[in-house]
Amino acid sequence: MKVKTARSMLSLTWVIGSCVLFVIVAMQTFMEVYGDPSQNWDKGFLWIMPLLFPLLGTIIGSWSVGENEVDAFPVASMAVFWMTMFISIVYLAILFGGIVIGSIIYNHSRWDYIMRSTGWFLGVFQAPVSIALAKFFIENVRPPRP
Amino acid sequence: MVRAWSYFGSQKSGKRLAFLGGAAAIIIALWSPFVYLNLPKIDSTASRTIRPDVSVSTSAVDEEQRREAALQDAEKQRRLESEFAAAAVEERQRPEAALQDADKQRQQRKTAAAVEAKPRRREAALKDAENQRRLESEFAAQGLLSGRSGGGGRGGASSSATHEESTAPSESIITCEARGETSPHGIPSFFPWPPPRGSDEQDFTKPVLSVIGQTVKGPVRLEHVDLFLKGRLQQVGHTSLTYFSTPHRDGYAAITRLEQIDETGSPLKGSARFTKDAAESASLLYNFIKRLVSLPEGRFRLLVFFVSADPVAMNYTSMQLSLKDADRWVGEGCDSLPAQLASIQITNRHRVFLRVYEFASKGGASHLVGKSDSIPLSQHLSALGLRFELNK
Repeated sequence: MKVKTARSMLSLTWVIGSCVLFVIVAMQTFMEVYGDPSQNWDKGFLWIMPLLFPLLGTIIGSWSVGENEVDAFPVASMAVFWMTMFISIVYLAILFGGIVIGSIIYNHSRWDYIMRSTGWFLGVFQAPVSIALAKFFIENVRPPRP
Repeated sequence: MVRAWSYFGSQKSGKRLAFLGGAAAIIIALWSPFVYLNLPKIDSTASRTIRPDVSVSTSAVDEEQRREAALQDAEKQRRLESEFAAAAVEERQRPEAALQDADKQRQQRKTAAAVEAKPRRREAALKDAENQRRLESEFAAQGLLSGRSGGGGRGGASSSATHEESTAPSESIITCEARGETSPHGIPSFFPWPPPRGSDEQDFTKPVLSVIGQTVKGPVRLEHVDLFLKGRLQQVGHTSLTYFSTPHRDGYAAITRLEQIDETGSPLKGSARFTKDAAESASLLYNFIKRLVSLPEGRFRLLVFFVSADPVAMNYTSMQLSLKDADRWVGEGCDSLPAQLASIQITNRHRVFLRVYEFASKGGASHLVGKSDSIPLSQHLSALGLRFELNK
């Protein structure tokens, strides 16, 4: 698999996953599931933004660099790529899981607990995800060493 | 650093890194559901918690606190009442002793008033006097002091109506026969009394008694009214009622189960009618998305029939009602009308009064729908198919 293909797959995973999450949180905010809208209008976004924006920033930032010569190279390790894809999906799935459990099981009643707990373990989990993504989206934009 | 960075991307180390990263991801993925689901135990009926310790106090929080306080007071009041009811049975066996005690306390009050100069003794005397007044009031409510009519005393806003021709069995505890309990369970009085204002109400004395009068020969009793109302309610799907006595034990209040209705007042079909779960459509995907992004909403109806000589429509207890109160009403009370109440003869002061309590809920919050926003009672009845006139 070429580096370009790998990057595209990871980009799509993150952008689509993040967009769906943002749409759900936006709709939940609009439907006032987080409580009194005069006080909690930004609650959902304050939760999801720190968990997604740093990672999205890494991905989207690399797009601005444009095409470079390593895009055509084969991925050095397919295992690392699939690991990156896997932990990306797990990260997004945990976020989706929090939203689904908070909505369906707890009927929107325990958002504070859901947000606090995900903030802790996804905050920690964000570090390895960032490293793995950086491998593809930052390190590869440099020209290969001779 | 650069070499270490490159090492992680090399073919040689890739599998090792993939294994470690994948294992970490699997551990976190498996751990997260436990974190999500290992929440503190919560009341299933209370979903959205309003935190009283939030520094920015809102009116909703204040209202919730006031309501909780009122409920606690109500619980306390009921406990006290049951204690007094038990005491009354004991006292009935020795009313003379009770009267002597009352006289003794009255004398103590006089003695205490005479020693006003001594503040400590005065305080004690005042306390005794207060106790005595309370005892007298409770005894009077139980009919133990002759020549006094019951003052009610429930919720501090009781009816002051006097009863010239009381046929009520006010001197005994009326038990729920149909409960099948080993120890007798006294029928509770409807609480609070006078009942809180509903969404709409109407007096059905004339149509109900005229229909009953066509079939019953002789004096009409509460059991006849109960049979009639129960029959009509069974026709529209309300197969069980909960019964309370009125404070003067000369009538009763019958409560239907809480039912979920649509915006026209028609009961929801199937199992959704008698549950608090939001109505769901046939599409699973639609239900999932709806529950994902919106709070469950519902409209509920509770019908309360008052068959009583107490003027139900004249006074109201100020109280912010919610579904919790409705649940409390439905959960308490007798399953059938006790025989002692059923045998009471209907007087010309008895009224058959229907009050509908319509609740709107969103998430865990619920409130009584006011008269201006509620479905009119006539529409409730026609949507339900409930009629009090003679069946044709």
